[in-house]
This record gives sequence, structure tokens and C-alpha cells, in this order.
Amino acid sequence: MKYVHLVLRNMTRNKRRLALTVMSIAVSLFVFSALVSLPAVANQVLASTASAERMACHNKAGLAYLLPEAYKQKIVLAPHVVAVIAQNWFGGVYHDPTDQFPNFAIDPDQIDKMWPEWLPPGAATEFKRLRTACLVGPGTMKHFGWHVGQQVMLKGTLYPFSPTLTIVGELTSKAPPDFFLFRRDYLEEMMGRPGQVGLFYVRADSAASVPAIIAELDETFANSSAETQTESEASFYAGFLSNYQALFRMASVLGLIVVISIGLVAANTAAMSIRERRSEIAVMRSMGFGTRLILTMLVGESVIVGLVGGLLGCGSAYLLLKLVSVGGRGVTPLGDITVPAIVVAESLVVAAMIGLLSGYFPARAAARRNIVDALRTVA
Amino acid sequence: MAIPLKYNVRNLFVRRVSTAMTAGGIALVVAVFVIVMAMVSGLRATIADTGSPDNLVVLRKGATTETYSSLSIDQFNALKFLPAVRRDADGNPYASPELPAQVLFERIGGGRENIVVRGVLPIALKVHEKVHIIEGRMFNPSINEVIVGKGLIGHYRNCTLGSDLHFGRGVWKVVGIFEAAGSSFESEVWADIHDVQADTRRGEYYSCVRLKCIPGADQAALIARLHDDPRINLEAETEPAYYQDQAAAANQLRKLGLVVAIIMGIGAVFGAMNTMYAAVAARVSEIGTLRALGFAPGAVMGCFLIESVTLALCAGVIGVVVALPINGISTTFNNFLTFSTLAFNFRVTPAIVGQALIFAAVMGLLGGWLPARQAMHMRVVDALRRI
Repeated sequence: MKYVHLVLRNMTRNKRRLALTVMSIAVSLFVFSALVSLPAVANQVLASTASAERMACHNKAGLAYLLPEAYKQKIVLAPHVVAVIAQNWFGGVYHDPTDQFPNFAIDPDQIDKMWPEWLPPGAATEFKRLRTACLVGPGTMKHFGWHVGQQVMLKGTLYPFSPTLTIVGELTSKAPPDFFLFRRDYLEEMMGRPGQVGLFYVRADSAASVPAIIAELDETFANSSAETQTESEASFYAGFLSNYQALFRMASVLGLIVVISIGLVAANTAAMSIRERRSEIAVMRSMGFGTRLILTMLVGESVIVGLVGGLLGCGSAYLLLKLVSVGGRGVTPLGDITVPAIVVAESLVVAAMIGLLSGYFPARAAARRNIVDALRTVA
Repeated sequence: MAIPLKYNVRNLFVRRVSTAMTAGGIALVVAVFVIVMAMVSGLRATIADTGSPDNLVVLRKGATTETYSSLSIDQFNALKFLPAVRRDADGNPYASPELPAQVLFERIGGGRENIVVRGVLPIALKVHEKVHIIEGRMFNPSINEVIVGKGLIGHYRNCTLGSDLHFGRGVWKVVGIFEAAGSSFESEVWADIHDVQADTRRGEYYSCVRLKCIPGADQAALIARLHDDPRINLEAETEPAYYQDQAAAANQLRKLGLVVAIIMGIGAVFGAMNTMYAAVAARVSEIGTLRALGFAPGAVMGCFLIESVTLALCAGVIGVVVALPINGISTTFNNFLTFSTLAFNFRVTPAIVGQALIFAAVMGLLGGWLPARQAMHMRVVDALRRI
């Protein structure tokens, strides 16, 4: 412990070099932790939005295929099912067509049973009362500067129908922030009752009965003209996130390359500073400092440099994500996001490893060097 | 007078290990830059090359992609005989109603992904002149026959001539393979539009119409007519403009790649700076000697800058060479705009190589600037005294 002071003095001897090294490690770990966070953040969002009791039941063939509305009656009758809501993707736009947000038509009757945590007090009653009601997530509210009670017109692009809707409530922060929900019975009426449904949300009485319901529903509709695929909500959302899988894969490969390239840079600096101190090290050894002690001090020095860089980099990634998540809609369709603890730990371990490996080899060479040779060379 | 270049190059070789490590760092940064840009340029080329300048995409007003558009047969009938639309020898208009549907396909190696199944009429092959059947024949209507884009072969199951494809509600016979000059149509399956309408149970409507204009026709006037005619009331843009917008996913990716590359570049610049400071520090007496011999301060600064830029450029070349094998590799990417998968090839273009080398040179310049300035400002007497 008494050598800590010596290590610190050695480390800060060339302040400019120290600053440059710390900065390069910090920059790389910033990129690393931001990139590695991407998939982890996605999982976070899944965990916070998806409920263990909810399932999505959709056509097995894909997005373009709908289900008959009549399936609802059969799903309600399945054991352990407490609520069923049919949903249609409306795909409407507000003023600017390039400014997309997800808008759905949903059955109003069981909304408070299906998503109780999404609803502010009183909103469910109002939604059930008013045919032209809609509920909007906080992100979309803020984005367009809407307020509760306002009338907004959604322009239909998929449906030849543009409803004018009254905002009866703002969804809570538990709901996806950019969602826009209105009543499906209104849509059906205006469209002449086509009776086609995009998907059914199904709520079970407990998480334990979910697998049984999934099996039951898919078996009920097997060999029909519209076979279903029922999934837990988490796996349903994960399916959408798998659209980004290629991006995530690329992000992790990039993260790895970043770490390797900066590892090289850091190793180079450590080697440089140790090489310069060769004769000094030889003097210390001739005074009786042990090889192991010197090695420990040198490696300790570069590990500290690595860790300081790591803390800086990881800290700024953390701050950035905080800013992004406060900034809300537009940047990400996600709610509250942070750099997960596991990524923080990973980054710090990586930072320490960069320090350790970059310091170890040159330090070993210096510590083992023949004292006489080292003293003889004039650096 | 300038200091001979040989001096710098030899100096780089004297500090072999340190030069190699700095170069390694820069080379990796450059390699990342090249790989990301090759991906973006491949993706963008695939999307943007899909259009033909003579063609218009006609969509419902407010729709930004064909995925979110629908129009009726009445609207189609009202627009197909407009005078600016090209006709073939028999007088049939080059107007292709289309219905693309996202359908789940099984990937080779597991998993299911959305692929566009485009319902078309035979006229589509004339409107999209880039599309050619290279094997087999065109599908016959109403008997569940399809033709498959060659980009899907090797990525998805049963996408070969003569096999049975299972998707949607039925079994479809692959009777032809088509190519489309590397465009995004190559990642699609084309089927009879009525088969697709029936299979998706979407009723009698189309998603969009593609029109081929008479060469030299006033496209703006046609677009205005489609917009203002109350029987038609639709929005149209030229295909190149439409696909430019569709390449937004590529642009997002490009932004991400650029940010990562620049931040990594900053890290590498710090590293290069360290190396160059060490190079200057190790050669103080040499610098003094050079100055005493009569080389101007500017020449000394230039000399160190050249050294660092040479180092970075060599590293850049290595980085490009490392990344080059990716050129032409076929991969798939999910376009978040259309929720469907695209097959495309990485494309390392000369422009990307040029940009990568400039990027490397800039890193060298930035990393060398401060150390070189320090070398320039050194006083001759002090420098010579330090041994």
C-alpha cells in the first residue's frame, strides 16, 4: 500500500501523455458501452412493456394476413382467458406523412382489464362512452403539442377513411410513449363492417396459464383458412425487435473492433513510458526492489489509467443515454432507458483488461532485464 | 529547403513496434469505416437503383410507402388510359397495378422473416424493364405459380426453380427465377395479383400503380392530373424520387456508422499524438542539429507532419486491404420502413476507398500537428544542449 504514492507520481509524470491515453481509452469505452448497450436496452424495454399475462394471437402467415373477427367469441370461451381485445393497424398520419407514429384501432369494452397500468383515472370510462375517443401516449402528445380534450384528424392511407377523434386521456408512462389508440367499432362502422382483425390481445388470469392458452388457441384454429400463431407478449415484441437484429450484430462486432484497436494504442503508450524508464527501473532493482514489486507497480499504473478512462467513457455513455431518453420521441421509440449495470461492469472489466495487458508485457520485459545492461545504456 | 522524405520513412522503421501498434489502431478504424460504408452503399444502391426515371409510383394521398397505401379498381381504371401513359403495339397501357404483401418466409438455418410477395399482372415485366426472367418462365395466373428474385436464393428455403414454396395459405410452385439489375425487386417473390388478393383475403383493391410514361412526356403535368382529377385523386412521384425516400434506412445506418467511425478516429488521433510526441522527444538533439544545419523551423514542422501522415496513410491502406474481402458478399438486412427483408451485396466503391484514405490522412494530420509544432518551436541552443 505504501507504494501507491510512488505509482501515482510515476503515472502523472508525463501529464500530457496521461491525458491523451486516458482520453483515447475513454473515447473507445464510450463507443463500446454505447454499442453493447443497444441490445441490452432493447431487452429492458421488452421487460418493462411486456406483461407475463398478456399474449398476442395473430395470423400464422404474416403481417399481411388478417383474422376473422368471429374468432373473438371462441377465444373468450377458452379456459383462463379474462380479456380479449381485437386490434387493427390503422397506419394513419397527422399532417406530415413522414412523421409516423403507430396508431391502432382497438375494442374498447375490456381496455381497463387488458392494460390497467396504461390508463390514467377515468380515461377508460370516457373511452367507452365516446365513439370518437382516442388515447395518446405521452411522447406523441408532446411531439405534436396536443392536449387532452383536443380534436385531431388522422388521415387514413391504408383505409380510405380519415377519422376526427377527441383525445380523452394521455396514456401513462407505462405505455409505449408513441402509441395512439382509438375505437375499432368506430372504424368498423365507417368501413362497412369488414370484420377483419389484425391481431387479438389476450389476457390470462395468471402467468402460469399462458402456455396452456397458447396451445389451446392454436389448436382450435389449426387447419382453418386462417391459422393462428399465439405468443407471449414478450416474444411478440421480440419478433419486431428482431427486425433490428442485423443492427445489433453489427454493433457488437464494431464494439469488439473498437476495443481491440484502442487496446493497441494503449499498449503502445504503456510500452513507451516503460521503455523510457528502463535505467530508472534498473537503479531501483539494484537498490533492492524486487522484480515482482516493480512489475506490480508498473502494471498497477496502467490498470489505473485504464480504469480512469473506462469510468470516464462509461459515465459519458450513461449520461448520453439519459439525455436521449429524456429527449423522448424521435430519437428512439423507447421509454426510459439507461446503460444496464451489466454493461457498466463489462466496460470496466474491459478497461481494466486493456490496462493490464498493455502494461504487463513491457513491464515484464523491463523488470527482467539484466540490470548491468540497463544501467549501461544511456536512455 | 525541405528535409528529405527518406529521413522520415527510416525513422518510422527505427521505432518498429511503436509504429506498428499506432498503425494497427488507425488501420482498424479505417477498416471499420470501409465496412460500414460498403454496407450502406450496397444497401442504398439496392434500394435506389430499383427505380426507372420513366416510371411513376402512384399511391393513395398521404401514404409514404406502398405498404401503407390502398387504391380502388375504379381509380386504376380512371388513370390507366391517360394520354401520357405509354402503350404497347396492341394499345395496352403500361400501367401495372401491384399489391405487395409482407409474408413470413422460413430462413435457411432457422427463423422466419418478412419477405415481400408482390402481386402483379404480366404487364409488370414491361413496366419494370430491369426485371428479366433468367430461368424458367413467367407465372400463369390463378394457379398459384410464382417467380422468385435471385437475391432470395441461398437465404430462404425452397426458393429454387421447380420447388414448392409454402407461404400464406397455400402452396406455390416456383416456375421462374428473375433478376433485376441488383435492385430490391431481387429480394421479392412475384405472383399473380388475383392470387395474392385471394390469399390475403384483402378483397378487390390494389396497393399502388406503376406507370411508364411516354418518353419526353411532361411528368409534372401527369402528376398534377393524378392529384387533381376527382375520379383519381391520388399522389404520384417518379420512381427515383420514391426510392430515394425508401433509402432512409440506409441513411440512418450511415449516420450510425459515421458517428462510430469518427469517435473511434478521435481515439486513434490521441494515440497517434502520443506516438508523435514520443518521436519528437526522442529526437530533440537531432532536431537541434537539423536547425543548426540551416533547416527552417517550418521545414522541421513539415517533416514531422509528413512522418505522421505517412504513418496514417500506410495504416489506411492496410485498413482498406483488410476490409476489401467484404466486397461482393451477399447479406440480408431488414428495412424498418417496410418491415421486410432485403438481400444486398457489400459494395466497396472507389469513392469509399478515397474517403477512407482521406480519413486516415486527416487522423495523421491531427495527431501530428501539436507534436510537430512543438518540434518547430524548440530553441536550437536548448535542443542541442539536451543529450
